Amino acid sequence: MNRAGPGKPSQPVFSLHGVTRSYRVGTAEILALRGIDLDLAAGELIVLLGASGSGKSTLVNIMGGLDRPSQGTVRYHGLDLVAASDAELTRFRRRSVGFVFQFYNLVPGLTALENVELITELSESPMPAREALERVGLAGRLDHFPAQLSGGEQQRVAIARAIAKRPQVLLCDEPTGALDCDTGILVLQALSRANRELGATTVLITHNAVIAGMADRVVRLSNGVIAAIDVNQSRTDPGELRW
Amino acid sequence: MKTLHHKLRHDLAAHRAQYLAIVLVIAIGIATQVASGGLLASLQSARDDFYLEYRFADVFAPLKRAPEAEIAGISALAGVHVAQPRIRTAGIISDPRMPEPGTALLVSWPGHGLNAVALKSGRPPAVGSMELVVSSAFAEAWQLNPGDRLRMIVNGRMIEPVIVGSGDSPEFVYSIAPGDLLPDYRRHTVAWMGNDSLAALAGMQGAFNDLTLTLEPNASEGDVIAALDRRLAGFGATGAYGRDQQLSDRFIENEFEELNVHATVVPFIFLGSAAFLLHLVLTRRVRREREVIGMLKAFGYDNRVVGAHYLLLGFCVYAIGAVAGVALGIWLGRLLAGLYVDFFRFPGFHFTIDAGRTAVGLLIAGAAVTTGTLAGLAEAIRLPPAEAMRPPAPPLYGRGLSLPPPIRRRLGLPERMIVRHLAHAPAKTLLTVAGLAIACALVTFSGFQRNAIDYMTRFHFELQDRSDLSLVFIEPAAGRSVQDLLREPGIRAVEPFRNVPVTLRHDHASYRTTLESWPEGSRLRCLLTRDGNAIRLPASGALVSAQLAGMLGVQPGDTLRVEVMDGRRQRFTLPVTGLLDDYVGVGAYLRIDHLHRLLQEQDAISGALLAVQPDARAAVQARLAMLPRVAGISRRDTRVESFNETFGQSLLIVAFVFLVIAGTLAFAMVFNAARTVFDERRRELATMRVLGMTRSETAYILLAELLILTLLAVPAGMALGYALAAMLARAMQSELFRLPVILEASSYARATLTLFGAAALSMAWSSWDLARLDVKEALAARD
Repeated sequence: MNRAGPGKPSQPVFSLHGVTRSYRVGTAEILALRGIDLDLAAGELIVLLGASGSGKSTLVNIMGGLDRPSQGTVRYHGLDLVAASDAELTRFRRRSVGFVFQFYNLVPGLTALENVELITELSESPMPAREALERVGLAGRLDHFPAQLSGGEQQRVAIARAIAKRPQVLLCDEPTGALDCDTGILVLQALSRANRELGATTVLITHNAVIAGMADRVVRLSNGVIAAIDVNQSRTDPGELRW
Repeated sequence: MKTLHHKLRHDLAAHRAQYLAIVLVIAIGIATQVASGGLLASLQSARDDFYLEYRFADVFAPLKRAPEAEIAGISALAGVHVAQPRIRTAGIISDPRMPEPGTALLVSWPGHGLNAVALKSGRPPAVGSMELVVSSAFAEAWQLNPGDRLRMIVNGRMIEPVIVGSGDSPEFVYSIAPGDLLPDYRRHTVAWMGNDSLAALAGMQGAFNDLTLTLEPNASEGDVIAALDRRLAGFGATGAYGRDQQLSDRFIENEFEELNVHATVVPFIFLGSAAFLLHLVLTRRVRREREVIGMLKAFGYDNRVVGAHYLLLGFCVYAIGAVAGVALGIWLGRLLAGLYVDFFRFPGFHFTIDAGRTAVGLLIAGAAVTTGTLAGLAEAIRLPPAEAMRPPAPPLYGRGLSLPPPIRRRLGLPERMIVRHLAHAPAKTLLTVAGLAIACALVTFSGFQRNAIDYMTRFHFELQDRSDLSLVFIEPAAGRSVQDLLREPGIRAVEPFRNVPVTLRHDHASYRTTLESWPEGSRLRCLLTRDGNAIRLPASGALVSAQLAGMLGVQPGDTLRVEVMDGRRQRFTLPVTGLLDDYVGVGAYLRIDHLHRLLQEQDAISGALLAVQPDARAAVQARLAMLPRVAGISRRDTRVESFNETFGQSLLIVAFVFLVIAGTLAFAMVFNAARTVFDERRRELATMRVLGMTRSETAYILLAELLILTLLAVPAGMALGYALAAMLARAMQSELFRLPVILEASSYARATLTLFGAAALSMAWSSWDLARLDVKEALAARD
């Protein structure tokens, strides 16, 4: 497994330098990010911790090619995400990125299996959709529609959908935000397993400090700047987390 | 509350395209009501004013000849207010300006008496002069001005009176040439001449051959007519009649009845459709506000305030639509009135709004807005605020929607998404399809009248009547006289016909019409079933128009009592052998030999149909005009042409206005359907974009769904359009004509193109929205 050890990664997958993002709301200018410098190594699991409005989601949106910084550079391997065209960004998301959202964002008109197939059909060398669902423990729910699944099950379908393409990057925005503790832990276990087995660089946004224990590194954001980066000497198994 | 008003302004601005579409729907519904209701009311009041101001007579009594001294006795009859004798005679216009002869009905100048003439130009004819006032439509058609001369043949004498003016009389709003079914303003005119001059021309000095009179208030028309008939029996009277039998008034009444049906049915269709669409769109629009409503209630606004806020939103949209609708209605009404001015020529006619019908239109649209808003609100207001603020549970796709494996295998994932989205809420899908189908139906239907009238004229004037020329005599002539015409160069065939004015009676019902007859085996005249199969005239008995049979309550096998209204006033019975589902007029048809036997005459004919070599038509027509006792000659081709010129143009404009209205409505509907699909799928589409699907891949899902909705709606809309046409045809059937339910392929094609055109534009708009879709925002939004 090509996982960087603790400390600053030697071969960064993502490289962010001086990333600033400002929004104009009426006459006021809101600075969501103010000069972020961050490198992410292959296979690393990062937890982005911060309060609401700290800039976590903006940062992940920029890393996922959903938004562009006002200033600074963002590189993913050789690709300059700031200069890339819309089509290049779409291709980048299609090939390399898996997304997991707080509210699952499953397509209600497709079964669990079909929701995953929606992505495997787009990918170049995906794993079979069934296998992705088996990995998250949903082998018995393949033909269920989202409305027939619990919140935890829906989120695990979303994880299966994200990992099925064998992504190099897994971006998760508050994946346990809408779930209770037990269900949340099941979801985190699925994510941790996917990170280990697929070697995907994983960024996990949360405001729940307990979750930080499962990360290689914990990036604390506050007011659009990185307040601290903590390195965990060892990752806690999500099964041992409690909140 | 101020904040809510800000919200209102913001809401209106933010969803302006969709609200604009709703405004259009309201405006169109109201406009059709304002225009057609106002038009009818304006026409009726213009007619009433015209009749009153120009003293339209109540009773008309044509006769052969009576001395003027008779008038004193007639005026003294109980119930008679004013009796006015006059002279009427037929003339053939044979003027070098006109490429073919026309006909004139010469009438004594009424002065300030009954049936006075509203002069449009010039002055009255001077006493004792050879001066004429002609119909204003005829004067305009040939640009005749006071001072011009008009050459005509009256009683075999060529005259060239001076035109001194043009005008219209309440008696001849609708005036047709002898033997014609349709008015032709270019080839027929009423010509008023001083009574003395006309008497000299017609050989009627000291006598009259026509009488009109008005009744005392409360006088019985029937009693006066009976007394008059007794009094005039010795003077060759053909039976007095009231306004209900007067040709022009009957035509106007008929036309008004049709307009009334039109002014009721058509706005009902448009307004009803608009109300339905409005309800549909507004319900959905307000339902989408569910979370906002929950939030407002959580802040402490009570149901009443929240309800009032949304009703105010609905009202703002309604108010804009209503103002636009009334303005559009007035504009449309004026446009249509402009067409009717040429048609009816009522002096002082102008479009005015009809308050009653306008109020009905405003109320219906208002009710649709209110119920639509309330229906959307009801659900959101019933929910406790906490529940309303939560996004609705994911739409319930049950096992039933997994689709059977063979179908599932054939469909890709996007297609499965579309099919399941349409199938999971079938009622909603059905309503959307119904909305689009109604829009499609209105476009289909907008072509109906034009198609129907085209077909009707072709059926009647081309298929049933195959002659080139028809010739009508002032009085019945001997049949052999026309056989001589065969020797004329250019004439290939001559066939006589005999038409007799009659009153038909059965039980207590009676109807004044014409018995038409022609020889068995005629090549120039025939009767056809609606399928186009020829029907043979019976050897004895008559075929009766189904419309007439309905009015008289007769069936095949029954017997009609017939009273001939001119000549020897014979009476006989006539068995009905069959009914005829015809389109124009109401008549009874029999073989000429049979009619001759019934009338006990040898070979009298009313006129003849001629087949003429195409290059000889004008020459033959000119020669026939010189024959004595000819009341009219008409060419079939120019007759149809003239009909199309006079009415076709107006029909085309009306059809075009209809099409624009229906097309706009269709666009508003399709656009709204597209917006609904886009709004409902917004989050899914954003998710798919984030997951790496390209714009065209996501657009496909959106557009294919709209396309399927449109495809489902088009055939349903065509069927509905046909049903609407059938409904209108049924409602409009009258003595004058029955519209066939004909919709040409072009009408269907136009509807299909309009709907798909609207869909394409809406799709382009949605694609543009999709390109601008802020995926982050759409993902952040929970619904």
